[in-house]
Amino acid sequence: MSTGVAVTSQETDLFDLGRAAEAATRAATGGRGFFSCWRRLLPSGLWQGPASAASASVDEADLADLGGLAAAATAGANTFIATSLPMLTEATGRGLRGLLRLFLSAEEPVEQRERRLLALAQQVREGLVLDGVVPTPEDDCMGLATLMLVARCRLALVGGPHVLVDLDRVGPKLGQLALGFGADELCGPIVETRALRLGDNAGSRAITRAEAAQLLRGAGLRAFERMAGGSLEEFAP
Amino acid sequence: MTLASISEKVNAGIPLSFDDGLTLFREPDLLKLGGLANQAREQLHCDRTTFNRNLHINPTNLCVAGCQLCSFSRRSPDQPGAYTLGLSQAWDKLKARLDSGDPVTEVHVVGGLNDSLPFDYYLELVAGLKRLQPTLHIKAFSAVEIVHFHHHFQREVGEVLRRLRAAGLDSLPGGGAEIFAPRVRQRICPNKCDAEEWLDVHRTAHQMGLRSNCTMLYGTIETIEERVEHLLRLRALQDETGGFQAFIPLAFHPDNNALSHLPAPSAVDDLRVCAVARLVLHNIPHIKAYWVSLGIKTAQTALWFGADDLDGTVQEEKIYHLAGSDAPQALAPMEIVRLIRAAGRTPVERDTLYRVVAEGEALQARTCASPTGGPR
Repeated sequence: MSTGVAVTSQETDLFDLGRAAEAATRAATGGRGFFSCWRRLLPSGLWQGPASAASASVDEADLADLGGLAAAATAGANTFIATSLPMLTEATGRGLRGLLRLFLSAEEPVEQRERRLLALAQQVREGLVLDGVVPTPEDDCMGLATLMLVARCRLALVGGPHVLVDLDRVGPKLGQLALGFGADELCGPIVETRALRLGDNAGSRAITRAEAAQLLRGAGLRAFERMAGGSLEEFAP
Repeated sequence: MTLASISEKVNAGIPLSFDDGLTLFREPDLLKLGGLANQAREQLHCDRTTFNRNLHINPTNLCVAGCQLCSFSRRSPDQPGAYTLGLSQAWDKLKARLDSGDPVTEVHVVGGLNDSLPFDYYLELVAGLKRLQPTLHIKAFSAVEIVHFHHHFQREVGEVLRRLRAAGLDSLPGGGAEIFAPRVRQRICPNKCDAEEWLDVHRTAHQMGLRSNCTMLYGTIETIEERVEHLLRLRALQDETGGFQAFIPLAFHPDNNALSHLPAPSAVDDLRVCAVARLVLHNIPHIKAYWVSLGIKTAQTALWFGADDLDGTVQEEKIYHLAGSDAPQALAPMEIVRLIRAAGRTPVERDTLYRVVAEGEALQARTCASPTGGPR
């Protein structure tokens, strides 16, 4: 049974929190929102996703099978999704874009989650190189809690890292909502054109670049695409 | 018209106008809209969020309607995936659920407009389900199916409903309303009954003392004016009869159908429809976040945007899953309770007529007593 998530009106006003986070996003990004197409290095050493993807990512959890960070970088990874700070630091030291995945479990008491976030904020203030955080729910009942964590990340990490939405993990629907709660970057299966959702392709979570831009604009943000090499280009409809 | 002036009307209990509805749909600040809808929801239901234990049976997917929006139907028995359950097969689905020890309280039956089945099939289907569990609530046949029975079997709507009721029918589901605007119906479901016929079935059912639900399918080609008009027509019938229990916003799913070139409605749209419905449909007690349609995470979020009900455990829903829903086939009662609690709401198990079955410690005990907490 859940230990409960602090989203009741008594504890935190969801709407106030969302508004504050949205305002903080605008202040942090100057009203810009970002998206990037990802491909992922699988434990097998194969890539999943289009070869043209700007972000070639590898998860810390897959490093052991891949032979370590150096091997992943040699294979072409340019983005590292860490779950531990030492590995994050090693990756950024190698010139990879360093992101930190923040898992969200229903079993973790809210206070503990909050302490975790405040400790991270303190380390960022002390100079930790961190380009973004990726709040990631561990189960389906964490939709609302994900939005709350996205908002809290934005407010706690003021002026610091991006708050990313991993569309593969949360889906485009919650991803879009997260943009109204402090997230500023969409990542995942964002493609040039997607097949119709028919047959084997039914249920696909892929969205097009135009759809990603539309989601950002729907949240009141100007849409910028993160290109290979890290440059940002405004997406022209 | 501003959100502030609409808020004043809501607080004063004044029904919102067509223009108010448009303003709500156009409100750019989703959180402001959600806050207002949440206020209305909490005034009606506080933190309480209901669900029930139900089983879906879709007896046939053979259908003569050929709707563009549908991923479920097949035109001919020769098509791959076409099926019609024998009566025993349909009854066995309930029997298996009852034999598992799960105290299901409702069976929800909807299917295609199959013109090769006799009326007796439907009567016997309902009667057989009732025989298996006489206390079970049978919510069956959308207004579209009732109109099909009326035309196909050449019986008045009232007679169709009376005979089904005599066989064991307890209430009607709300499906098939889609969008009432003829412009939209003509394009997405031209062979389905029209708005007047749909409303008339529910009016007749309500006059007979049967309760029903109502729906709106959004996210195809409708305008917001057409959405508001749809809601107002439902509200007008509710003023007349008081027979609707819940409004269920149904998100269009584009997978595997003739409208698969359209994007699925966004989560912002999902929450907006939910919130606007709560505010415009002041006289319909419940707004249901149907998790099969919205997905679990969005349905959970909708509990703060006007919705106060999550539907049920469901099991074996076919219609939305063939249209690309990535929600699971069923949720165990324990999972629904957890979902509601994780949203900071108070779970209450209800029956189809929204009477409390269990809450508080009794709900905890009942949930834990179910084998594996219910179906999966």
